[in-house]
Amino acid sequence: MTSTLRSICLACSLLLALATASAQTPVRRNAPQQVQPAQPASPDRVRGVQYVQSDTTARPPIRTLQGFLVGVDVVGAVMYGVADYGQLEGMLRINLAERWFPTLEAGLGRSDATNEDTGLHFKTSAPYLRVGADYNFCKNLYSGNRIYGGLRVGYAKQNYDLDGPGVHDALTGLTADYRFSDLQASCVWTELVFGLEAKMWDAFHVGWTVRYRKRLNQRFDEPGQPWYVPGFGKNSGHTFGATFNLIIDL
Amino acid sequence: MRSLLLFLLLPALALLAGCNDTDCTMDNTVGVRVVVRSSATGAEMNLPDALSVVLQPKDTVILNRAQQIAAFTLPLSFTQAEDRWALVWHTEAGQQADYVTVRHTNRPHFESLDCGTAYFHTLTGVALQTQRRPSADFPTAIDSIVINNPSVDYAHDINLTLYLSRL
Repeated sequence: MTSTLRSICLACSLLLALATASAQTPVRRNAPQQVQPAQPASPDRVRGVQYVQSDTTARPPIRTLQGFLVGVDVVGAVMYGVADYGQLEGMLRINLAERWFPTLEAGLGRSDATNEDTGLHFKTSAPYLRVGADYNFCKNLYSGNRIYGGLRVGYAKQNYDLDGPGVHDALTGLTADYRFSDLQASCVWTELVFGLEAKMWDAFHVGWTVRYRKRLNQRFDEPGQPWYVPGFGKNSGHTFGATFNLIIDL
Repeated sequence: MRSLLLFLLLPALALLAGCNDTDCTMDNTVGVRVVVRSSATGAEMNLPDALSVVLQPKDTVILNRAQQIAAFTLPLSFTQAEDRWALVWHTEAGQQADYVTVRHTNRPHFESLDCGTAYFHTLTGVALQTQRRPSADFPTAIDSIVINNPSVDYAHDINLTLYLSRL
């Protein structure tokens, strides 16, 4: 009984040793099979399937002057056509090493608005300009996608018309005209910009930005400040804005 | 797909956030703020007798029997450059009027399309047309009236000081 158990254990040990050896060493066909001790894998040996991305080897170096980008704002253009105010805006960016993007934005702002409650009407059409720079926070500079943070300084000079119903003077019973034309104003403001940009096809990108705008200085004629400032938006101490850009990477 | 939706929806949310609210001045009355002081001490005092102010020549009452107040506001017309006030004192003996002329310029003010219109003023002169002494029947009289701040607008600063003499 004891010898039978000993034989079974010996047979099992031999089978286990054979299995281990066949897993660690290649089986050579037509060669006498023999049990070999297990060997640790050497550094130049690779198990499994290794993939090597072709673009990592073919990536061109990033130059200081990587190129230029031109784009237009779709949101402003749609608002230009359908809303009380809007702007046709284009932009030019210089791509410095895919990190820094000095930016020039220029456009034509327009407003033709009437308030139904007060009867007041405002009209203007004037150009504006913004200069600044963005920084690309994206880690992968080869992906074509960009995450922006940036600053702008904007300037607009405009002429505007303002009119409304006559104002009744209860003390005298007379009515004063409320009609002013060719009033002049200028405004300087700054913007904090955050934006995303995604590569669609080759050189074509789409992107959007959200902006916090703070007015720094303005001058205007009596009777008061313009209701809308081209490039800034509805006039107040600060405001928010957004753009949706179609961009071509030159 | 989720990234694409996020990419497209975020700017839409930003556009909604970009809609700013109307920011009109809540207290949008414009008038000359007058404070009452004693000519003897220079200290602020309450009106000892009832006072009405009537705009001449249309006899429009712009302050009606005010009493025991140290300051009040009077409207100015914006279709003429000069307003003439009759300051009428009411006592048990009857009424007694003093006349004051206020010269001013008028300038329209625009704040926003949503806020309506207003006219601001700049005081260019004030003159007391009648000079009388306090009497037993009318113990309060105007000693003098001076311009403190010529700008009449939403700020509601003190524009005129009315110095009163008492019997």
